[in-house]
This record gives sequence, C-alpha cells and structure tokens, in this order.
Amino acid sequence: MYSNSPTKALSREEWQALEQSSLKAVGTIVGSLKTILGEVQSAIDGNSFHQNNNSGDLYSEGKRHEETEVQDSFQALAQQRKSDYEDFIACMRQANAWDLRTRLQRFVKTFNEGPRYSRDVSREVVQNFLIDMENWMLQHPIWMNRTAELQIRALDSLEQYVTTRIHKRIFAPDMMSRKRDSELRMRIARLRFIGPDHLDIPATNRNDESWEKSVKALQVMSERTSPIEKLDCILEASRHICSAPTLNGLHTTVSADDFLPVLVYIVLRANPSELPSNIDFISDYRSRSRNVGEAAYFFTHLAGALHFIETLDATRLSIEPSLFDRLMESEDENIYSFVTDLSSIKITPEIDVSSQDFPPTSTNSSADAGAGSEHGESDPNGSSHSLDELESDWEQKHILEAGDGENGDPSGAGETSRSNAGGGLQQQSPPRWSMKPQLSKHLKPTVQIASSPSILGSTVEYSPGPQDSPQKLGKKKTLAELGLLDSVDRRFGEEGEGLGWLMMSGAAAGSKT
Amino acid sequence: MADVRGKNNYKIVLLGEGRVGKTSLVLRYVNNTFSDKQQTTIQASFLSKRINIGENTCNLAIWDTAGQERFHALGPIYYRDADGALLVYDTTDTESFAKVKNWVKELRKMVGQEIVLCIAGNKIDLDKERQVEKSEAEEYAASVGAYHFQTSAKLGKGIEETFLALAKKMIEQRQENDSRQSARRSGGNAPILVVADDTSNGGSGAASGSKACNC
Repeated sequence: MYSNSPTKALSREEWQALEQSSLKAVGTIVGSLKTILGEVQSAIDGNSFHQNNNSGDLYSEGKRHEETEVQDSFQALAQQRKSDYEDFIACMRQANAWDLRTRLQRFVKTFNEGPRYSRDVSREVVQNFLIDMENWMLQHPIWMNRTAELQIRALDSLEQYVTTRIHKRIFAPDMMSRKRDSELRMRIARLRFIGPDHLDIPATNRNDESWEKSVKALQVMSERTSPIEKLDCILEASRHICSAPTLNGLHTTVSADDFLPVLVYIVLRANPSELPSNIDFISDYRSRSRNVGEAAYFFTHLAGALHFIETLDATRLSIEPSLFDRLMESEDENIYSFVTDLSSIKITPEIDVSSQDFPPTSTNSSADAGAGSEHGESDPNGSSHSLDELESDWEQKHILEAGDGENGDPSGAGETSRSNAGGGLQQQSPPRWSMKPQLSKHLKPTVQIASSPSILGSTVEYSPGPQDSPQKLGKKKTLAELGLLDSVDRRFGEEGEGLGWLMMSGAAAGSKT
Repeated sequence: MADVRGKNNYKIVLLGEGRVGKTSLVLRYVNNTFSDKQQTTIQASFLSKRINIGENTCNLAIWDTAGQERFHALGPIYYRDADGALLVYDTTDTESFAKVKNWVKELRKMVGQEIVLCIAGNKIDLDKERQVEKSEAEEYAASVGAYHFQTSAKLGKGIEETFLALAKKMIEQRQENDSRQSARRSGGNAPILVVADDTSNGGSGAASGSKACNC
C-alpha cells in the first residue's frame, strides 16, 4: 500500500509545479517539495506517529486529483494544516519532548483500548486531557517562546492528532447518533423536491456553479477525521456561497438573510452523510476557546441549517401544505424500496462485526481472505476494511447473486448459510469478507433473517426469490442516485450494531406509508 | 496579536426582523476601520473588529443572523454562548419593534441576565416616516435593562456609540463573572468544612453553608 506513495507524490509534484509555475510562486514549490519529501520518508520509516497521518493523506490525495477545480484557498488551507501537523510531529519527536510524547501516546492507547465511555464522558475525558496537554505544551521550551499564532497552530495540530487517533471511538459513538444520521439521510431524500423557490432564494442570488463546489465541500467533510479539518470543509462550502459572483456582485459581505436559505438548499442538495454526527463531533471536540471567528460562525449556520431541515414542515416553506405532503409521500416510495432492498443485501454473513476490537491485520489480508473462506468463517482476526474494498465486494456479490438466482442450488446454499448468517447476526465468530464465488450462495437465505417478522414486523413484504435478483441490480442505481449508499456501506463495514438502526428506521419508514 | 486562550474575544449576536438593516449597520461599523485590502480577502458574512477600551483590547465577533420568520426557531443556536445581543428594529416599522420585544423576552428566559442587551432603532434618516417614538423605545429598554440607541446605517449615525456601550458592558460583565467564579472557587472549601460541621452539629450545617457562600 505504501509502496505506491512515491509515484503518487511525483505525479502530484508535476501537477502542482505546473500550476505554481504560472503563478511564479517558487516558495510554494519548495514547501510542497518539502512535504513530499516528508511523505516519502514517512512511507519508508513507517513510524507510528507518521503512519496515521500518511494513510489519511494518501486518501485525500486521490480526492485532490478528482477535484482539481477546488479553490486555491482551500488547498492553501489544507497545505498549511499539513505543514502545521508535520511540524507538530517533528517537535513531538524531539528528545526533550519525550515526556509530552509519552503522555500523548499513553492517552491514545488507554483511550482506544480501555472501556467505552458514553458520549458525555468521552467528551469530558478528551477535553480535559487536551486542556492539560495544552498547558504543558505552552510551558514547554519548544513552544513557550513562539508567537501566539504559532502556538494556536500547534495546539490545533495537537487536537487534530488526538481526535484522529481516537476517531473511531468518539465519532458517532452510540446508536442514537447513528439513528439520527440515518433518519436525516432519509428525510433529506424525501425532501428532494425542495427547490430555491420554496426557500424564497431570489433569482439574483442563484449560482449553480459555486453551489456545486459548495455541495462537494460538504460531502467531503465526512471523510475528514478531526474537527478542524471538518471545519475547513464547512468554511470552504460557505465561502463558495458567499463569493458567488451573482450573490456577491454589489457587496463584499453577504447578509445572513441571504446566506442561510442558500446554505439550507446546499445541504438538501448535498445530503452529506453523517451530518448530525459531524456537527456533534465538532461541537464536542473542537476546543471551545479556539472555536472562534469565521469557521465557528459558519459552523453555527450549518448547525442551524441542520436544525431547520430536521424540523421543517410546510409552514416553514413557501409551498402549499397539501402539495408538500403529496411530494413527501411520493418520495417515500423510493425510500421504502430502498430499505427493503438494503435489508436483503446488506445483512450478509460476511459482515465483520468486531473489526474494532481486533487489531487490523497486515497487508496480506486479501490473500488471507481467500484462505479464510475455505476453512469457514471462524477466524477471529477479522480485519477492518476500507470503504473501497467494501464497495467492490458489495458489487461483486450483487452480480454473483444475480447469476446465482438463475442456476443456483437453493438447498445446498440454505444449509451452509444458516450457521453463517446466525454467526454474523449474533456477533459470535466474526466472519471474513471474501471474493470467492461459493460464498455468494449464502446470500439468499440471509434475506429471510434480515426481514424476519420479529424485527421488521409486517411492514416488509419482500420475499426473496431468484427472479428478484436482476430487479435488485436495477435498484442499486436508484439508491446510488439517492446518494444513500456510501454511508450505509461504511457503517456496516465498521460495526455490527449498525444493523439495528437500519431495522429501526426501516420499520419507521414502513409504518409511515 | 492572537490570543491563545480567547480571553478577549466577545461574541455579539445580531437579532431582528429581516430588512431592518442589521447587516448594513454592522458593515458601516466594521468597514470604517477595515482597509480595502482586508475586505476583499474576507468576502464573507462574518465580521469582526478589534477595539481598545482603556487597558482592554477586545475582539468583537459580530454574528449576523437570518431575520426571516421561518428561521426564528434557530435563535438559540446563535445566541447560546453570546456575550451580547444587538436587537435591531426599524423606526418606521412598529412590527419590527414588537419583534424586538419578543426577542428580549426569549433571551431573558433562555439565557437570563448573563447576556448584555442593546436595542438599536435604525433608519432614523427616514424621520418623516417614523412610527416608533424614541421615548417609548427608551422607556421599554430601561424596563428590561437594555441600552437603547438611535442609529442610521445610511448616515453612519449612532453606530460607534452603540457598539462601544455594548463592548464596555460586556467587559464589565465578564470581569464580574470571573471574580464571582473565583470567589466561588475560593469559597469552594467552605462546604467541605461545613460537611465536617454537619457531622458534629447536625441540621445547622446547611445554614452555615449558605452563609459561607454569601460571604
């Protein structure tokens, strides 16, 4: 995985150099070269301090190629964050910072391996630790004599480091937050009919081009693992709204009267995954004393927009109440099929329910997985999978399932899968993902378990059969269009308890129809 | 320059009906000292200003809010941790003044006396169309413990005074809070002593506890 890093970095260098040379920004090239060097070095030495940072950057690097049009300011901000972070790591690795380094590492280790706390307790524990660390850092010779601005950046990097390392434990920590996330995604999908007119956004304030960039920035937010990086995304999204030529033609400043309706509309368009959890995450873990200025202001607007969307009804929009209800209902149908679809597809024996409790396996996991499927799914060292792997696995299984429906062997498949599916749901022996065709046979009986009356009640009338498979394949497209797939995939990949919230929201959506 | 602990940062939230001139009021206030160069880089609806009052430097972060009725319920999200609120009404529009009264009620109910209130009657340049009398508004402001100023964003009248009064009061309030907090902290030992009393003297412990707090 890391062996790819140098080649990637080189292509980025070229790309950046091209851009920079036109601007004659020699200094920036030197800066980017330095970061590339740092990246290569970290890829080689694989130090624990660097590892996390690096893997995150590899991911965002791919993103960056995709979105070359993203504004310079955003890149500059990301670049600065990165160099701040690298500086922080470098300082922490200095010999005379050993006591701080030890404290930091010990905290991360204890927090990740210790008991799980509730959201409130986690917040207190982490915030208290950060405040202590900040005090120690500010009294330490390395940071003591820096300017206040550099001190603030160092403290931000500290926050970034800690929250990233314990992100899995503190982000969307309970069922409640997951449920709220999924409910919002469903809700926004149902509110897709809302247009700028319903929010009284004047025609002069509309600018699709900048809005598109805004939408993208919001969607990227979920991929970031620290509050400050998420705030950067919010800032970026808001700046695109504010700097839209039509909106900002006459004034240099946009009033909130103009801004908020547009932001609401952008959120509806973007339907960003895990938005409530992201908002909670930032308000819980962003340092309160440093959450000031523009970023805090726009963050609050986003929280406002979220609240507005969660509570809105026909009276809050410029729309006939009867029309509002009718449009909501028509969207319901899509969602209903989505839920039944998901409950049949997603709850598969391969779901790795306990990936978090086990250390990630080494790079040979793909080879391992092939072997794993042969001697059953009893390997407890189930590895955690990246979003991409899940996605491709999902697709493959889907295709295989379709084929299976035509010439599959139902009796044989049913026999082997009962135990597998049961194991997956009861969270006993966590099974492994596999690309092997024979595993796909297990999928059909799982459907019965997923839509068992005890959980979903009579609302789900979906009965699996061979003839359904191609239809389901077709449905996948609609789901992707809804923009609902990615978050679900991710959550199922992360934790088995995800099954619960889907059932609940599925039942809720079903009962509404 | 920057302030690591954020001790000098003050947040003012702007409340009022749409189109009463909230935004232009702040623009007028902030623009006077902002250089043109800074203006172009900010390009956003967030405005802040650094002012010196006596020995105190303070950074005022001025948070604009959407005035449309449909967003009214979002109020608490914005004013929750504000140090001050500037409630703007249009002197030519009685309804906007009624709205200010609603905000005052809500703020006092939700955040109590912690927040400094300042009411600004804007658009006094349109004196011919005036509907809200100055005396009436001043009387009301006094009754709820708020400042009252008459402003005109168009003419740049009364704006400096408004923000200065607000800033002074916010600094005062924060110092008061800090001293009250430190008093509470130093008084924090008292209950421990009281507990010791409590075990020996029984019921009288609670009384002595409250005395200790009042001191």
